[in-house]
Amino acid sequence: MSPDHDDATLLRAVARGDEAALRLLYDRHAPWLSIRLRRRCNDEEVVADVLSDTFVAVWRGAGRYRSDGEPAAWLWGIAVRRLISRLRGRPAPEPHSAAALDGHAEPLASAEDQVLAGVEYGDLGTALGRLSPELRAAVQATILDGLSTREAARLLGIPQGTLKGRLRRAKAEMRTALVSGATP
Amino acid sequence: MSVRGGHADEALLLRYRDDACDPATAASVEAHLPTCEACRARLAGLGRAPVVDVAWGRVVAAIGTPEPSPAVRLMRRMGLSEADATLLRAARSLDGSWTIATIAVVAFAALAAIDGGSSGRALYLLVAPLLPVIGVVVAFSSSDSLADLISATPYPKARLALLRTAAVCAASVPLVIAFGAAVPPIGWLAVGWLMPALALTTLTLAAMTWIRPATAGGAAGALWLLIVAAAFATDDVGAAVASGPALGYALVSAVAAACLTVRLKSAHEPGGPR
Amino acid sequence: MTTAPIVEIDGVTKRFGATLALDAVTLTLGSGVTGLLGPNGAGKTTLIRVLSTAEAPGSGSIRVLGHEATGRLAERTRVRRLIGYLPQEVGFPRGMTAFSFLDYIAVLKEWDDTAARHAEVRRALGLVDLSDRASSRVRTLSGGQRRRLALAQAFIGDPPLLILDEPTTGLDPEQRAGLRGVLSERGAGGAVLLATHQTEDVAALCERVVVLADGRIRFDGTVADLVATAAGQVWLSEEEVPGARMSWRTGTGRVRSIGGTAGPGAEATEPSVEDAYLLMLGHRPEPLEEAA
Repeated sequence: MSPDHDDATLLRAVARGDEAALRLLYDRHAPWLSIRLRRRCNDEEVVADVLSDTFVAVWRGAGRYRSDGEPAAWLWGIAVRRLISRLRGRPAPEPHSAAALDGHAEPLASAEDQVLAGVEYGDLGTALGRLSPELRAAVQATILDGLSTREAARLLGIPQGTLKGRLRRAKAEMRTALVSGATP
Repeated sequence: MSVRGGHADEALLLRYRDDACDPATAASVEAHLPTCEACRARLAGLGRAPVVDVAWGRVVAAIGTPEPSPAVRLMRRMGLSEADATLLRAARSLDGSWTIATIAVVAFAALAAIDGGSSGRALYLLVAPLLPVIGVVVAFSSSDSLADLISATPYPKARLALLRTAAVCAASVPLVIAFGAAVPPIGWLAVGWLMPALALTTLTLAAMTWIRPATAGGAAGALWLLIVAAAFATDDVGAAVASGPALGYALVSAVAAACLTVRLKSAHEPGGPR
Repeated sequence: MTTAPIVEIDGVTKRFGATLALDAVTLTLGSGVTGLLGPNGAGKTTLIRVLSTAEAPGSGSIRVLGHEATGRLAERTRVRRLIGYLPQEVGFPRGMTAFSFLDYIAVLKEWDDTAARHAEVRRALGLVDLSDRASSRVRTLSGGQRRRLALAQAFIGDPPLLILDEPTTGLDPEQRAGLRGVLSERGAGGAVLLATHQTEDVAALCERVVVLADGRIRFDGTVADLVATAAGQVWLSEEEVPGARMSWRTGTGRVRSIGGTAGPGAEATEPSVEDAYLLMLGHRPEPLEEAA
C-alpha cells in the first residue's frame, strides 16, 4: 500500500487485513475527525476512545463499506454514532462554546453545498447565528449532522420530546429571521 | 477571505482547528471537509493533536489483542487485573475449546453415575481431581518452549505459578462440583474429591520443579488411578475419600506445598528450564 | 572503549555430566557490541544461558552493574531487570499475535500499567520493523519475521545489557543490515553480547570479538587484532598451497588457502574475519569435543 492509493482502495486492503493500509487511512482521516469530534465533546479521553473505536470498527468492518459512497463521510458516520453510544448514560456533555454549529455527515449533494455556502455568507447564516446555543445545537445535530432525532437527543443528552420542541422553535425563529431579514 | 473557490485556506483551517471562527463559518468548513481530500490533507498538515497519537496506540492494541477466552473474560469481570489476564492468555487450558472439553468429560463421567452403579461413581471420582491436574500441566507446558525466556524475566515466578494454578482451578472446580451435585447417586463424592485434588495438584506442581510437566501430571494421574482402583476393588469407592485417607491427602498437600515453597525460593520454577 | 564494566564474569565453570561446557571463563564487558564466535558445542549457548540467569553456573560469579546474577533471588531479580535476552529458539504460545506476544513478555518484565506497556510494545515492534504486523498471528509470520519478533521482546524496557543468541538466523541481507543499525545503536549506551556464526556480522558490527572453543576463551580482542592473527597466512594461487589448513576454489577460479606455506605463484591476500577465525580453530590441538 502506498500513499497514492485512494481511500476506497485502502479500505479494500484493510478488509483483507492490511495494517499498513489502516495506518495510512488513519493518518489521512484521524486529524480532521479528531477536531470535529472535539467540537462536539470537549473531553479528550472520550475523543481518544471514540477515535480509536471508530478505526477498530473500520478494521473489523471495512468489508461493509460500499464503494459508491464517500469514504470520509462513511468514517464520520461511524465516528458520530460511536460518540453517541459512548455518551449514552452519561450526563449531558458541556455545551461547547463554538461547537454549537456543525457540519454534515452524509455525502453532500451539490445543492446542499450551495445551501451550506449560504450558511456562511447569506441570511441563513445570520439566522442561525441568532439562535440560542441550545436551539442551534438541535439544528446542527439533526439537520447538519444528519442524525435521527433519537440519536441527536442522545448526543445532546436531552429527552427526544425536548429536542423536537427545540427544533420546532428553531424553525419558527429562523423563519421569522429570514422573513424580516428579507424586507429592507 | 476564507472558503475561496470552494476550498478552505490554511488561515481558515487554523482558526477552525483552534475553535476560533464563528459558528456559521465552522459549519461550512465541516460541510466541506468530508468531500475534499485536498483540504483534509492541508488540515492534517497543520500538525497532529496529541489525541490522534493516543488513539492510534489504542487502535493497535485493540486489533493486536485477540479476544480473551470466556473463562478469562469471566475472571476479568470478577476483578482479575488486566496484567494478570494478559499473563493467562498463554495458558492453553483456559481457552474456550479447553473449557468445552472439560464440560464434555465431566458430563460424561457424571452421567455414567446416573444409574447409581459403583463403576459410574468410580469414574466420576477418578476424573474429577484429574481435571485440575491436567489443566495445570497444560497451563505450564504451553510455556515449556519459552521456559528460558520466561525464567530470565524479573516477574516473581511463585506468583506466576499461583496465578496459573488458581485460574485453572477456578475454571474447572465449579464445573466438576456442579455436575456431581446434579447427579444424585454421586452424593457427597461431588465434594469428596476436593481433598485428593488439592493433594494431587500441589504434588504435581512440586514435581514440576524437577521434571517435565507432562511427566509429573502422568505420575500423579497413575497414583490416583491406583488409589481409586484399590477402593473400587473393595466395593466401596467412597473409601478412597473417607476421613482416614482425607487426612492423608491433607498431609501430602502440606508436605508438597512446603516442598514447592522451598523449591521456588531456590529459583526452581514449575515448568522452568531444565 | 574504556567504559565502566557492565558485566563481570569471573571463573565461571559449568559441567553437564562428563562434559565441561564452560571452563573457568573470565570476561568483562563494557558498552559496545561484542561478538561471541565459536563452533557448535564450544559453549556459546551455555555461556549465554548462564549470563541470562536461565541457567545457574556450577561455580564462579557473574555481576551485572554490581548485582550478583549468581546470588540470592532478590539479587538475581535485580539482574533480570537489567537484561534483554534472546534465546537460540523461542516457541511462541498458540493463537498469539505479534502484539499480544510482546504484551505478554512485557507483563513478565513488570510493565503493569497498560497504556505504558502498550506504548513500549509498539516501540519494540517498530525497532524490528514489524509495526504493521501487530495484529498478525505468529503462525502467519515468515521465519525471518518470527526471529525479529523474538528479538523485539529483548528490546522491551531498553535494558543496558542485551544477550542475543544468533539474532540474525533466517534474516535476509536487507533485514540483517537493518538489524545491525538497531544493534549498534543499543551498543552506544549499553553492552550487547552477540553470539553468532556469521563472521560478516562480527566484521560489520563489533569492535570486540571473543572466540570460544571447548569452553575456554581462545581469543579476546578487537576485530582488527583477530584479523591480524591471520596476516600473511592467506593465499590466492592456481593450486592449493602445501600444508594449508583449509582451501577452496573461489568464483574467480583461483584457490584461496588459509595457512600453509606459499609456493611459487601464490600471492598473499588480505585476510577476513572468517579467515582468521578458521585459522584460529584450525590450530586446535585436539579434535572438537561435543558439549551439551
